[in-house]
Amino acid sequence: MELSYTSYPQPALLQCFAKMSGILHWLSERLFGPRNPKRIMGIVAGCDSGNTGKGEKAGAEAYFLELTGRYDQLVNRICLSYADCSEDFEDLRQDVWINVWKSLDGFREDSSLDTWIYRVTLNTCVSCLRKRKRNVLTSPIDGIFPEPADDDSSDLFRERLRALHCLISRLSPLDKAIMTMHLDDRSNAEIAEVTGLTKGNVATRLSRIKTRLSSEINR
Amino acid sequence: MTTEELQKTWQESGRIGSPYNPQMNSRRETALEKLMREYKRFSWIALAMTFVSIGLYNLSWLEMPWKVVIPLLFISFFATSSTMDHWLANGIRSIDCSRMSVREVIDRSLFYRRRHHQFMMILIPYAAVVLGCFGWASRAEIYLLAGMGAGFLVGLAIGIRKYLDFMVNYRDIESD
Repeated sequence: MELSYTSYPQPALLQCFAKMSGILHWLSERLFGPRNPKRIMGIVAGCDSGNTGKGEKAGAEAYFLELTGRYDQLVNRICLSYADCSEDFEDLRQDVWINVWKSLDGFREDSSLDTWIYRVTLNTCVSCLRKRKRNVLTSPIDGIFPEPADDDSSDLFRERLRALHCLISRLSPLDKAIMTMHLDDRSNAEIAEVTGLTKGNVATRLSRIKTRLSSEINR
Repeated sequence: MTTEELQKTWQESGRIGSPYNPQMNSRRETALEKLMREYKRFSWIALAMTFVSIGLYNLSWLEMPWKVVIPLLFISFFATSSTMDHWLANGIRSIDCSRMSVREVIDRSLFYRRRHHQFMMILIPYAAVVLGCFGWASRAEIYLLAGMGAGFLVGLAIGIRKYLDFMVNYRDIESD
């Protein structure tokens, strides 16, 4: 039997709390303003519309869903490089998309959407500088691929993924950000814009990271 | 594994995991928001304790000047703690993941993390002094002293463990 909230008795106190929370929500919208779906629709349509209505909110949500479909793999790659275990990976992914949704109406078109998504994802990952879990016996890859596959190609991919994660996880948070963007074929200028370093600094760091990774691969 | 294989594996790694299921109406908070909420909560609790500490003046076994000194010590301790947590909450709130560069976010996160631990290094000895004075002023109350002693030992064990964890992870974070 499926239980629903309305099948339970609603004492007067609960109803009172529900009304209070409704009043507080109304008050916070008046004081701080509602989320601004028209701004998000302005990004989509290229113009600002006059009113904020249910249609625009639905449009903003549809746009966000489109973004999750388009950038899901990018976010997955970056979160995987910062996660120590599969729980961290899921937490980071959730946090990234929450940050994207909450800051979408503040997105300024002075940078591309790609760059902005990189910025939000990397910043979310580095700001959650988690305690390194010393007792974790499995990597996030094992948590996401729990069952060993029957075919050899999947096993090979899994081993390479584990090796990749092992290499990248040894880098510092900033070096990881540089390396992940470089592996996605982003230019040094774009990497510099997102990381806040100069182009020369990015090139120097990248060269150092590649040397280090090459020596670890060849070991 | 060659660098080409590394790059190919990297490109394919995005497909792992289940597809993301967005929940735009969820009340889930990010890690930074949770941290800010924790600091704000402790700030409010410490502020409330500042006012509660005024009631220590009415403890029957305290004599002058402890009757005035003890409440003042507790009030100053809790007011300091509340201010520190409020400052940290505001600092964490200032970290904007959508506008700042990665370098800036790392620097700010580290800065506030370090400040957090520095504040702990101030508040722990401060608490020891306050509790020591309270214990001395209440030295005739055996059961009160026993309770304070037990609480001190438990707090010390937890504090040392957290401090050692911090020292290990601080090195990891500083490896930039």
